[in-house]
Amino acid sequence: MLIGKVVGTVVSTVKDPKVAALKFQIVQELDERNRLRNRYVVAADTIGAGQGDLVLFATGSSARQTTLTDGRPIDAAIFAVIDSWDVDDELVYQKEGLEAYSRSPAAE
Amino acid sequence: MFLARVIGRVVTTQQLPGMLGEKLLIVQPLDEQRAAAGDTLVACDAADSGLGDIVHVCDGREATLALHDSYVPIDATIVGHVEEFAHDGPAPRISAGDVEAPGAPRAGMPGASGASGASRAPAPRPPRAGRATQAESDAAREASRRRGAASEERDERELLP
Repeated sequence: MLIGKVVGTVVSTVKDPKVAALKFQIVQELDERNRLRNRYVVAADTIGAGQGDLVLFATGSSARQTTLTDGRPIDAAIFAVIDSWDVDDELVYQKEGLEAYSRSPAAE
Repeated sequence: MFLARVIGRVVTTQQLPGMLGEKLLIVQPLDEQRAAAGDTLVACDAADSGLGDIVHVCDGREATLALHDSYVPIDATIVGHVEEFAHDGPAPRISAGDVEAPGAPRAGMPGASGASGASRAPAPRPPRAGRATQAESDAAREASRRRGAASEERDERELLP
C-alpha cells in the first residue's frame, strides 16, 4: 500500500455500468516524510475520504477485495484515512483535531 | 516477495471494517546487499515486527492470505523476519524495489530478475539513487569473473544482528 493525498475528484458520465456507483478520487503519492512524489493514481473511494485527506490506497488485484469494488474493473482503492504516522520513532504527520490523542511512540 | 526494513508505522481509525486490528508498518525495500532499493511503502504486519527489523514482504493479492480476514484490499504484508541469508560472492544485483506505482513500467517481470546474471542480457533500467549504474555493475561483474576463476562460488554467510 502507499500513502497518498486526495488532490481531486474525477467525474465521468460515460462509463461502464459496473463502475457507475463508485466515486473516483485523484490521489498523489507521498513518501514516508510527507513529501509529494511525482506520481498519482485515480482510485475508487471505499470509505468516503475528503479533499485534502491523507489516505492509504492499494493497487493491483487487491483493490477488488472490498464489497464496493469486487468484480469491477478497479485496480486502485482508497481504504483508510490516516490519523498519524511516525518514522524512526519520530512523528511525521498527525491529522488535525487529533492532537489530544497523540502519544510518544518511544513510550510504547 | 522482497526484503525490507521496518522504518515506521501508520495509525488509521477511519477504515474498512476488515482492517480492524491489523498493524500497518512503513517499510523500505532492500536489495541483497541490504542497501535501500526502491521507494518506501506501507505493509500490513503478520509477523509481529518492530522498528528496524529486516523482514520479507509478500506483495500482490497473496498478501491477504496471511491476515485474519483475507477480504481486504491489502497488497503488501510482512510475512517473516530475516535472521540469516546466504548469497554467492559476485552475485548480480537482484533488485527488491519492484513495487512500482501503477503506470510506471514494472521492473520485476519474469525473466528480468532472479535469473543468473551470466545467462541474461542486462535490460536497461533507470538508475536508483546510491546504486551503481548497469554499466558499472556489468564492469564489476566482468572484473570479478576474470579475477575469481579459481575462487568462484564463494559462499558468504551473514548473521544479522
